[in-house]
Amino acid sequence: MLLAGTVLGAAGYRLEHALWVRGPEAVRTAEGWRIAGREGRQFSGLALHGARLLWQSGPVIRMVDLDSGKIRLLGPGADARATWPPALGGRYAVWFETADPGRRGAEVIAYDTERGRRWRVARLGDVYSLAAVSGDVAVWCTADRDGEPRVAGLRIASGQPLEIAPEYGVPVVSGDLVVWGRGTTGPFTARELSSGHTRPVAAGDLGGELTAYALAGRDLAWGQLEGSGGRVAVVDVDTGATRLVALGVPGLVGPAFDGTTVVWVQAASGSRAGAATDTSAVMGRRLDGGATFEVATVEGSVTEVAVSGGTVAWLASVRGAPRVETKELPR
Amino acid sequence: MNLERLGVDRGWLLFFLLAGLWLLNIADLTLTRYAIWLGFATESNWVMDYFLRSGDAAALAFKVGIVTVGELLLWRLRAHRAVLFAAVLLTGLFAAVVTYQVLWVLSL
Repeated sequence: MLLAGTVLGAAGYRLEHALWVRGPEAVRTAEGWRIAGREGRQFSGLALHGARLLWQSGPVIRMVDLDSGKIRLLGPGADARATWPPALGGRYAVWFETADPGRRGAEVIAYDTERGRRWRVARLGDVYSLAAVSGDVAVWCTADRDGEPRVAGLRIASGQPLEIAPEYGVPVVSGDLVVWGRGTTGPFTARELSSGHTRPVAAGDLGGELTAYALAGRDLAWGQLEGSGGRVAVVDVDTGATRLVALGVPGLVGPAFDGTTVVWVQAASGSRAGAATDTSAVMGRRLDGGATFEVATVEGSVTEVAVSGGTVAWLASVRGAPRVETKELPR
Repeated sequence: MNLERLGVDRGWLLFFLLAGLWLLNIADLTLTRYAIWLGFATESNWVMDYFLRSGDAAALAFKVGIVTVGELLLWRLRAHRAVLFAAVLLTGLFAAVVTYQVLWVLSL
């Protein structure tokens, strides 16, 4: 009878997953992984760190282990109906969830990738930015009942709150350093969490609309639109020394930056700029020297890109079908 | 089915079924508690949810207590054929539930 029950339980589990749980499928390619959605929802919120890659699909947050290809469901929780895109900064991932998308506020959810455990770490007022994570620190922009925006965060393991700046900004964090852009065109402000010292970042030639920015170590990489093209640059937050990485980039998406390599997406030659292009090129450049190189040519539009260590990942939409792809960078 | 003809003692069979059921009950509680701790599950049985919120000791005492009382009742009524049938059904059902839970937890 025990055996019959065991068989019945296993059969029920298999049947449920075959008929009703249609998660994405990870397929190993010659250069990395290809994860195709089977739920009919677009992907967003790409977050990569080491061998772990997270993304959002509708309200669902998923993580794939790039060593094994195993895909895990991280959210939403049993009581939640909507999520915000996740951030991953080492051991911890953080995102926001709400049970009622029509009401203000959200829960801050943390996921410990080592223990496989998720929990609610805080409650937010209005969500003004997505979360950013580095190590044990998560940061975001929120507003309480008074409606005044503020850059804030917390230490994930202890839940200790961090008050960073009483102003609007979309923050990024790396170690002890938090940097935020105060608007769609900057400027950037930096704050050391340990000393509390706050100062402007002397990034040269800001002006065009920012496409994205990423902080790794003491370097901030950003992209901005300039006329028909885009520009990618990196600034040393301490000295203000700015290095131009790419100029006149058509249809710039990104950049992403891991401290060593800057990656971005551009319209492949002959196709029009932006997310509506038919073919996109994922490009990269190492900061320690060397020329710009092409990581991959991607059929369809690429909406997000991420880099960590020797791995580049991007979100693509091929004839409306969502896809995550990864590729190991050439050494 | 004539168990005596197969050389199976009805009393011992019932004893082992009830012991298995008791252990499966502990496994069910352990897996449920672990899934809740992982943050991926909530207890939908409001009675059990109350005890789980009261603490592990309260949940263990309630769940083990109620199954132990039920099993003692079945043991007292072991002369009835229906008791063995009920024990077989319950043990199979619990085995199915625990197997499902093990597979689900492993997928997290």
